[in-house]
Amino acid sequence: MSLLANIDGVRETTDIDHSAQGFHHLHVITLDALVPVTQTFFDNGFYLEMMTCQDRREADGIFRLVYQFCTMSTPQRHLVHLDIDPTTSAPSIAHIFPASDWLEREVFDMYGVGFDNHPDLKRILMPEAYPDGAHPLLKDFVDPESKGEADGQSV
Amino acid sequence: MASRFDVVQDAESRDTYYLNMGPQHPSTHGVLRLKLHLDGETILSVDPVIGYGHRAHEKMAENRDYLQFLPNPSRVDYISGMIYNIGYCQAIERAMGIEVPERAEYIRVIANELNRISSHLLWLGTFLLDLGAFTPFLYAFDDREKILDILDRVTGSRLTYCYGRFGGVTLDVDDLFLQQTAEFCTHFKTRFALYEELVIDNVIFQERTVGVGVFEPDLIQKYGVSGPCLRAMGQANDVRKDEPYGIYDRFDFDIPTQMAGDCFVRSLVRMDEMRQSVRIVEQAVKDIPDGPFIAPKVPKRIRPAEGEYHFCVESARGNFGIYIVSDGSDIPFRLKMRTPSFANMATMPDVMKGTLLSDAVAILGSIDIVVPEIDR
Amino acid sequence: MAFVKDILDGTKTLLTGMKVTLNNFRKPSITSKYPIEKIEMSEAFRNVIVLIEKDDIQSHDCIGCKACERVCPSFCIDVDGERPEGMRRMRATEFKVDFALCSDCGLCLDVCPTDTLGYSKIHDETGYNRSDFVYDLLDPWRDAEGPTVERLRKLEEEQAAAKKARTVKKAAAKKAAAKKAETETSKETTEETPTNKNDAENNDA
Repeated sequence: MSLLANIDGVRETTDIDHSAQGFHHLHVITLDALVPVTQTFFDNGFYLEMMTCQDRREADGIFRLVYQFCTMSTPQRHLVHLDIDPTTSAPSIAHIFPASDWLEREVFDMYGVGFDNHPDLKRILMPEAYPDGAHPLLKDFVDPESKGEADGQSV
Repeated sequence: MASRFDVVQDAESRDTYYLNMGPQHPSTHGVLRLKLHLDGETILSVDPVIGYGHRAHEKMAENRDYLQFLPNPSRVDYISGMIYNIGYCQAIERAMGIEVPERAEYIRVIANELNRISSHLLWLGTFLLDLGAFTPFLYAFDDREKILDILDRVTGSRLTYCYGRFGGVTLDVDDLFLQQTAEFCTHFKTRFALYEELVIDNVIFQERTVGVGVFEPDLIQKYGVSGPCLRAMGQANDVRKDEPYGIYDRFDFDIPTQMAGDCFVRSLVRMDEMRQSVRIVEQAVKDIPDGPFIAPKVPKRIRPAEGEYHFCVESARGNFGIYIVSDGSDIPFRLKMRTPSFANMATMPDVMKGTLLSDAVAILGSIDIVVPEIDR
Repeated sequence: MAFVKDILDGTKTLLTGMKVTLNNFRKPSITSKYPIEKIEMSEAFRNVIVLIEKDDIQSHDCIGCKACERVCPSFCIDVDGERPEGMRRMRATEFKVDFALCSDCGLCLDVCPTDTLGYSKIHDETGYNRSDFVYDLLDPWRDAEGPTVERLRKLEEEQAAAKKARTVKKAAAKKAAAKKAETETSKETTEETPTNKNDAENNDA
């Protein structure tokens, strides 16, 4: 996509069939390209629709952060993949898109991914007293407060 | 932030205090906690605390296959549960390439729009209850009961529907359903005059909502506001028109917009949306064809090809998106639900700064959030 | 003056509101005094599931295939079945459902291969413990299970015998038809022989 043509760190851009998959473009970027890419999207009138993470440690040994930018009228949806090492943290984009304030807190809460320069990185969905290091959406997560029932078992 | 009162510049030197608008509160529309920093009655800052209703729907999606996840989307936003349930079915149908018969598409449109009307009626009742008007609540629920009875007869549920299936719907609708729906539309069109008289033209309602909680235009891009809150700021964006799904492109309806962006015009937009929904339902009831109500050949195992899929629908609150990552197996690798109330709620710290506490209640009611949708 | 206008506006709004409410005062009430007045549940009402009697066998038709157990999103069904001696069809021996977990999705009804699951109109189940909501769906059928199995076994034997008889009959009919065709062709050849002979004689000549 010519939108991101001049930014270093944008590894590849694919055009996607919207009628099959629901979005238009997929970009794979590196860690240092995140802030310039986000600024470009902001300057061109996109909004941050969604941000999430995938736990790919078993297959590829990474966390994949997924950002989704969209325009308002005649929606053009861009998905951005950022693969990071599970031990590193990503830069926060809350100073560009305030929506990512809560979205990054949710990714931190559910996956344990740290965000640098975030205004207030603390848990958002789980209780404040939930043990540190317990991040529910990880594939190998075991609830430290469980009483041993499996999913769906009655007491 | 524009406000009718001067914001205290040097908060440290005044007597300010912290007030907890706790998780159990009749006006927060769910279990939502607002940590308010107040100077007298003026809000200096608000810190919403969410997560009291977190039920781990996204984790459940990773432990169940696609068919078993069907009851869940309805519970995410239980007030417009039909739209979410059918939206999830449509997402999987697009990923798998399943064709839906015509009659099922029309049934889905009728059910969706009736659900949208019932959601807006509930909003109307509870918003006015927050503002102190006890009467319109039961009037709105009277109309809502009629919709619930109509849908209950054919689906078996009143609130959390599991009516959609991949390829269509579970049960067929009969002529009595279409007749009852047509009668409801005729009756409901006479009720708008009642709501105008009782609510919209009421001086107290106008005093409490006109000019209150104005959304600045830059909030749209900063937070991704969607739904009636967006349309009350002059932007005519609706997923049903921008990215039509199902058969919405066949119906003739308008997108109501207003310019002011305050609580009052958000109410006007929702009243107009109900009118447009009635228009859609009447057209659908007239044009519904005969035929099968579910696709004849639905794959026994739902296994979308490896990759990512995104699908959005227009729920009563805004743009609801489902993002599915499939690894080619029966079970989703990751399923993320992008809910409109999450984005709309995130604007609250900006919008509520400098307002009075009673205005904050009006603003919170007017953006029509459902807290379980924020928490999932 | 604005002050007086405000008062007049307020009074007018108040009177409009009262007029609307007084109009509705005359309309009949729509509340029903439950539980004194019972409410009819709709046809498709979803709640507690039961096994339905099938007319052709006068009993439920659960074969213990576990399709409902596999599809249940709340993992609340527990089914077991076995094949009674001398029968091809299986019968369920255990069917427990925990209704404290059931989410009324209807998927178990959709996947049942014999369509023997259905909704009941029970909507007011109560109990003191969570275990009070584990219902045994085979409870109404247990007393008659012995005679039912006997009847089904006999039915199967009759059906097997009838099928065998049909197969034998079909084979016999086929054999008879083949024999008939053979005799007809041989008859034709014997009838045609004189002309053939003539032709042969003519050809030779």
